[in-house]
Amino acid sequence: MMENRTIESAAQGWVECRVGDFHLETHWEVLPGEVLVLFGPSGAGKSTTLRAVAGLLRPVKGHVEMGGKVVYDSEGGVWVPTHQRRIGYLTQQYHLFPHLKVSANIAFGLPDRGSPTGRERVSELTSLFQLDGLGERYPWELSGGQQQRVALARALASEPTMLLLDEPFASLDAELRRVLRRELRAMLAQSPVPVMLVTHDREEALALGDSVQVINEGRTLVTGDPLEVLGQPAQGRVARLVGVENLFELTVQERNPRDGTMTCVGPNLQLEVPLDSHIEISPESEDGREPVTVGIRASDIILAKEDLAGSSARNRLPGRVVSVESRSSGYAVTLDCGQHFRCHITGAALEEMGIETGQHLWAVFKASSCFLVNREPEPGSTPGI
Amino acid sequence: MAVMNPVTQIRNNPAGILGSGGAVLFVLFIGIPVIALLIRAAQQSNFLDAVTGDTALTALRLSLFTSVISMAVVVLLGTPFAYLLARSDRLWVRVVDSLVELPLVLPPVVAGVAMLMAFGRNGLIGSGLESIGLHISFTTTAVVFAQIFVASPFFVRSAKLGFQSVAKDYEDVAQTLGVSPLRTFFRITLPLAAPAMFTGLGVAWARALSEFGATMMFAGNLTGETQTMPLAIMSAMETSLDGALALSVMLLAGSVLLLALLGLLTHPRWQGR
Amino acid sequence: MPIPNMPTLPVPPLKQTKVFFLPLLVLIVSCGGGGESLRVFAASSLRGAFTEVAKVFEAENPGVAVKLDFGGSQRMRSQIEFGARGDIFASADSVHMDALVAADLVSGTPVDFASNSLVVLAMSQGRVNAIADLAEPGVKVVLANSNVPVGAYTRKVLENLSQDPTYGLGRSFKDDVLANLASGEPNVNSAFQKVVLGVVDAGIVYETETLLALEAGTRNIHFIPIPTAANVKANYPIAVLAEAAEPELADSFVEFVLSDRGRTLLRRHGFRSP
Repeated sequence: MMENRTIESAAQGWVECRVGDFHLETHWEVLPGEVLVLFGPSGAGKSTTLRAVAGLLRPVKGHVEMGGKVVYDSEGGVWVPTHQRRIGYLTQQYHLFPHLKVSANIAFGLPDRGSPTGRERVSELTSLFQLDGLGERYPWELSGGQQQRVALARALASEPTMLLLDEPFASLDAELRRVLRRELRAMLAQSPVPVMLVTHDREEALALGDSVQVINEGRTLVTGDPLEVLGQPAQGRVARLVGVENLFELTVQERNPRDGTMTCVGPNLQLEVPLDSHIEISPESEDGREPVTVGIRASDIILAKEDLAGSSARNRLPGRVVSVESRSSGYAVTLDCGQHFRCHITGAALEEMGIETGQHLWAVFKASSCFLVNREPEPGSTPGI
Repeated sequence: MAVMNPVTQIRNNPAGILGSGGAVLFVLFIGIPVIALLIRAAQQSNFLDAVTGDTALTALRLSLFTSVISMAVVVLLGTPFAYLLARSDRLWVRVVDSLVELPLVLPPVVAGVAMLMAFGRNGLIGSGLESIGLHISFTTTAVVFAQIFVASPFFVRSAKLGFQSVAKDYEDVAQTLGVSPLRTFFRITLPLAAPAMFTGLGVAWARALSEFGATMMFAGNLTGETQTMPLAIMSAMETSLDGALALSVMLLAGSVLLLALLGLLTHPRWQGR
Repeated sequence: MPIPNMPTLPVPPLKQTKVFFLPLLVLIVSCGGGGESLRVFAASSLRGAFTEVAKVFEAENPGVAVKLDFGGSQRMRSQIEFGARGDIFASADSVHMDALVAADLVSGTPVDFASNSLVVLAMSQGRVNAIADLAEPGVKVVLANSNVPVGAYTRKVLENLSQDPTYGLGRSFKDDVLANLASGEPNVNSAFQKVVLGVVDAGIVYETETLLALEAGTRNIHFIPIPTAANVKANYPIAVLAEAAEPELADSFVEFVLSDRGRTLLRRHGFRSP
C-alpha cells in the first residue's frame, strides 16, 4: 500500500538532449518527498535537464514519468505538452508576472481562481508562505525573499506532482539563503512531492539534498549520498568540481593493515592515508609502486605554531607560509610543506596566531581526513579551486 | 566666477552646449512653420466655414474611416506576425524580417506606382480581378491599401520589439503553471508587450493619416471616395489658400490629439520591472 | 548557457482573422458606385463653371448627386487609363480625349462644348506690366507643364509671339520666357495660385481665370491680354466614358451641358462657344 503509493508518485526517467552543439544524457529517480540535487558547474546541463523534464525542450529521445503518468516516451510516441504536466517550476529570477498583483500571481494557474474555492486556496497559500498583507502589492514592491516565497506559492498552488527548482536561492544573500533553505526543507517535509533542485552551491546541495547527482559537460558523473559525493568524492573529476582544494599525486610506499592506513610518498611529501582497497590498483606503476591521488579538504587542516607531537594526528608537516588570501568567510593560508597545502582558517584564528607570510607553521591533520581519488588523466587541469 | 572656455565646456559635458544648441535649433525649425501656419489660419475670416464645409468634413470622414480600417488590419494581422518575428529562429522568418523595413525606405510615390502596376486596371493581379468585377485602384479600398503599405512596418517593428522584450521565461513559467500557450499569449505576452504595441500603433496611425504620395498615385484624388485630408489640402492649395490653411490646422489638431491619446495609453502601470 | 530548442509557438489567430476579413475586404472593394450619382472628371479650368452646372443639374434631377473632380486634363486621363471609374470626362484639349478614344475608354464620340483662350496674369505693381516683360532677365514666371493643355497652348502662343515680327518681341522671346521659368505646374489652378501668393512675378493662364479672380475678390493682380492673332482657341471636348456606371444619366448630363441653358452658364463663366 505504502509502496504502491510511492511507486505511483515517484518521478523517474532518462533523456538525451541536443541543443546546438551541446549533448546531454541524464537519468534520474526521485521518490515523493525526496530532493534530488543536480550539482555541477555552469553549462553542465543541469538546467537543461530540468527544462527537459518540464517539457520546455524536446529531447532527442527518452522517457519521463511523474505522478504516475508517462509524460514523454520517444519509443511510444508519447508527448504531453508542458501545460498539461502537473509540475511546479521555479526559475532563478522567479519571473513573477510584473503586471499582476501578488494574489493574481499566486492564483495564475488555478482554473477556478475567480471562485470562492480558488480565492480560499490563494489566501491559504498566502498565510502558509507568510505573505499576509502583501496580496495587493506588485512584485517589484517586494523584497527578494518575499518574491521567492510568492514564486513558491504560485508553483505549489495547483498541487503539482513534481517540483523543479532552478537555483532558487542564487540571487539572495547568504543569511536569507539559509533561512529560506530551512523553510523549504520544512515545507517539503510536509508535502510528499518529488523535487529536482539545481544548484552549483555545495552548501546548498548538502543542506537540501537527499541525494546528489553530479553533472558535467552533459554527463552524469556520480549519484549518491550528498556527504559522500560532495564531502570526499572518490572521483577525480568530481573532486575538482566540488572543490577539493588539495590533491596530490603520490605512490604507495607501505601498507599498514593493522592501523588501517598506508604511507604514500611524493616529491618532498609523505602522508598517512586510510587503507582503502576499493581504489583500482593500476597494473602499471613506476618502480613497482602503485600511484594514488590523495585529496584533503582545506577546512580539515589545522595550523599550529608548534609540532603537536602529543596529538593523535598522523600527519604533522612543517612548512612556511607562502600566502594569505581572504575568502567569503575566513582566510586561506597556503603553506609550503614540500608541496603547497591550502588551509582554511577563521579570521579570529588568523589574528590570534598573528599569521603572516614567511612564518613557520605546522600543518596537522588526521589520516582519516585524507581520501583517495581515482586517478584520471586530466589534460591541463590544476587541482583545487 | 570664471567662465570656462567653450572648448573645455564641451569636453567636460558633451551634451551640455551642443545638446542645448541642437535642441533650440530643432524647436525653432519645427516650431516656426507650425506657428506660422496657426497664425495665418487664425487671420482668416471664414475659418469656421472652411472647417465645417462639405469638402472638409467629407475628407475628414474619409481619413478617419480608412485609417481605422487600415489600422485594424495592421493590428490583427501584424500582431501574430510580429510575434513570429520575435520568437522564431528559422531562416525564412529572418529573411521576411529584413523585408519588413522595405516600405520604410521606399518613397511613398514609388509605392503608389508599384501598387498601380500590381492592382491597377492592367496590373499583374489587377487585370485578373477586373475580369471578376473587383476594382481596387482609384477606390476607397486603394486608400486602405496605400495606408497599410506605408504604415504597417511601424507597427510590426514596434510590436516585435515589444514581444522580444518579454522574456521567454515568463511564457515558460506560465505554461508550467498549467496555462496553454495560446492563453499565455493573451494573459502574459500581450499585456507586457502592450506599451510598445500602442506606441507602434500611434506612429503607424499618424503615418496612415498623413499618407499622400502613394494614395495620390494609386487611389487618385476623387472627392468623397479617395480624397483624404492630405489630398484635400493639396487640392485646396490649388484653389484657395484659406481653405488649405483651415484643413491643415484640422489635420494638425487631429494628429496631435491622436498622439496625445495614445501617449496616455502607453503609460505603463508597472514601473521598475 | 546553451539555448534550448523552441517549443511550438502558440497558434496565432491568423486563420480565424483571414476568414473574417476576406468578406469584409470584398465588401469594401465592391462598394464603389451604386445609387444615383455621377462622377465627372473635368479640367481644372472648369471648376467654377461646372460647379454651377452640377448644382443646377442636381436641382433639376432630384436624388442625383454629381461628384466633381478637377485636375489637369493629363492627370484625369491618366487616372482613367489606370482604372479610375467615372461617368464623364471634360478635357481642356483634344489630345487627352483622343488618347482615351484610342484606348476604347470613351463611348460614342466626343463633342466640343466650349472654348477658351489665354491671358497673362501678373502681380500688380510688379515687374511685369507688358508681355515683353516676361522675357526680362530676373523675372520669375510660372507656366503649366507642356503635357497640361494650358501648358501646351502657352508654348504655342509663345511660339506665335516669337515668330511674328509685328509684336516686336524678337525670335528668342519664347526661349527667354522659358528661361525665366520658376516652376512648372500640373494644372492651371496651381499656376494661378503661385501668382496670387506672390511666389512668382507672372504666369500665363486661361482667360476664364479672370472671372474666377473677380468672383473671389482676389486683389493685387492684373491681367495683360494677349493679341488675338497670336492667341489660341482652346476647344474643350466632353464625352461619356465607356465604363460609366450610369450611362443614361451621363448622357443627360452631357445633353444639359450642350443645351442652351448649359451654354449660358458656361458663357457666364467666361467660356465662348466652340
